[in-house]
Amino acid sequence: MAVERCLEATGVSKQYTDFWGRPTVLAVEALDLVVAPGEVVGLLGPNGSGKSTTVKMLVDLLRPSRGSIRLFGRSPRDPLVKARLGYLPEESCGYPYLTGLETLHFYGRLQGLDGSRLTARVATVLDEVGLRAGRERRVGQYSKGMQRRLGLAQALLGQPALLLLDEPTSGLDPLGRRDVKALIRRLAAAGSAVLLSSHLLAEVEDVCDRLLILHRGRTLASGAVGDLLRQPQGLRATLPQLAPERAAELLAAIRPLDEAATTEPLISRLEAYFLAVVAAAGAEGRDA
Amino acid sequence: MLAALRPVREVALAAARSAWRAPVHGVLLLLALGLAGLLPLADYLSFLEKRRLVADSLQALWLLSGLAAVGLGACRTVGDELRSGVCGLLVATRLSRTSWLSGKLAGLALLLLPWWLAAAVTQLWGSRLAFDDYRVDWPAARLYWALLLLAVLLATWRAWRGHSFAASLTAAVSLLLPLGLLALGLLPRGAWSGGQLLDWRQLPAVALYYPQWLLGAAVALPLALVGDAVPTLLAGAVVLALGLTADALLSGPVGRSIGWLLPNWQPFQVGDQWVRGGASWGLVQRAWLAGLAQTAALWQLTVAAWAEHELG
Repeated sequence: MAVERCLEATGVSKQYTDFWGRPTVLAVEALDLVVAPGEVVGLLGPNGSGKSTTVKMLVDLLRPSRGSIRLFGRSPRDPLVKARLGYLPEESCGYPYLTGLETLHFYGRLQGLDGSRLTARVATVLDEVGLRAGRERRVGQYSKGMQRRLGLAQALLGQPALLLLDEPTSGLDPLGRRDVKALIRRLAAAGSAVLLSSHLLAEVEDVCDRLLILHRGRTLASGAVGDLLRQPQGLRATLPQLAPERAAELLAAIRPLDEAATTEPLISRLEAYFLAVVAAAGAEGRDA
Repeated sequence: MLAALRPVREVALAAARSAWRAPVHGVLLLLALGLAGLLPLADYLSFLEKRRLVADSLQALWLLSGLAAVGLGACRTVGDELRSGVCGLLVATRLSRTSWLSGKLAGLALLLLPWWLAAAVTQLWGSRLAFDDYRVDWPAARLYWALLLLAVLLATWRAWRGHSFAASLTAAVSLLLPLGLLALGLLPRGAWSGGQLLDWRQLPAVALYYPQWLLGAAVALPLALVGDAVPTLLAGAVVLALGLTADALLSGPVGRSIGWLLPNWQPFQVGDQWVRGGASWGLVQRAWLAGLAQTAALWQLTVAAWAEHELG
């Protein structure tokens, strides 16, 4: 039996026009995109590459100039599609004069939840995004990171089969980014399809199974992350820390195989180093 | 049917709550209530016309401040929501565009309810303050200002506790001023002979504030969809001015036909009727129907125009 495709876009283009209908910017050109259940796909590209335009076309906020978009085999306008969709826009997601809790109850009621089901679901998503402590504060007083968490929380409320996330970690600190990335992986493992757009390379690399690189609306590269990043001409071996004389012996041993072979100390990524330092400080604080 | 209306109700409640909590709403309401308390105390230098002038000036005050409230409310709940992305989020995943627009109009209608109550109370209160052409009913004036001050203090205390000043003020005046109106009956009348304490003939005029404001909401809604606050309010003021002068400016069959297309506020102006002994409830009913029909027509046009609008 064929696996249902959560999202399928074929030959999608978006040509913006001015007030008089004259073409201005070709924001997206002949985009092909498929997202299956349990898959995390990344749209990667610099600012102005067409990522947000693509996401907005997928949720029917913008209409494609050419091509077709099907979500769960239906038009994005179909109410049945909307019910299975979670969307985190690039902008904020709340009313400044409502509290975070009121905001989530509002979104939940619009999704058909009420009573104890709504209360329980709101509590769950607040925990998932780490916003329980700030739930009684007004959204207008939220930091950018808290607003992002609130946006994620509302996107998760309806337990969507397809999540469209526009810059999900924008404004989050490294701890928040780590949590969100882990959350996305958990959702995918549970069967949700996720499409995220970002200009943060590490974010896409860490969580995505496949990616598309967009530039000025055109797809420059696409495929599985591992395939795209693999370098067939090179090989990296990771060894325990060696004394300098042992490293020199190792290099001498492999140099006859290839003159370009080198050794260098293993360098940690700054994000991993930062998280380790903060975690250690947290552990010390608890001990104290 | 009821299930289909549920999203509209949710959007309406959120819109009204959001608008009530906006600081500008509190400032505007306080300003209107302050002026409504001051106008009957002004010396109009007119013999036997004070009551009519007070009634007219209060009528103008509430018409304009209600329209300002609805204009600002539209900018707040529609314009800001469009620009912040909340509208896009809602229509992408949860609502039809028609439900969202209907909810916004209903939210603005809810926003206006406390204004309507405040207008009714102050209009009656003003009639008591201006009951005598040569004197002011100071006990009634002192009670009004004391209650307004108490409402401000309560709202400030609530704001200090982390709640919204504007929403608290709205709740406080909605509770305190009607109670004060009831208490007015217990106050001494002063030296002049009795007569009516409150001029209930003003209620038909007050009843007509609401359809005028609703019409204002139906005008402000499409403007807020395409513009910022200042252009919205300016364009709304132009439409208001055209509507107020439609009968004078547009004569002849062609002119009258064009006049029908404008939101015409003139059927609601019943000041002259009031001078002749009060507007009849039949007139109020007809004006309400006309107002609702115009509001529905404008809303329908807005829905049709916005159905294919892109939300980039």
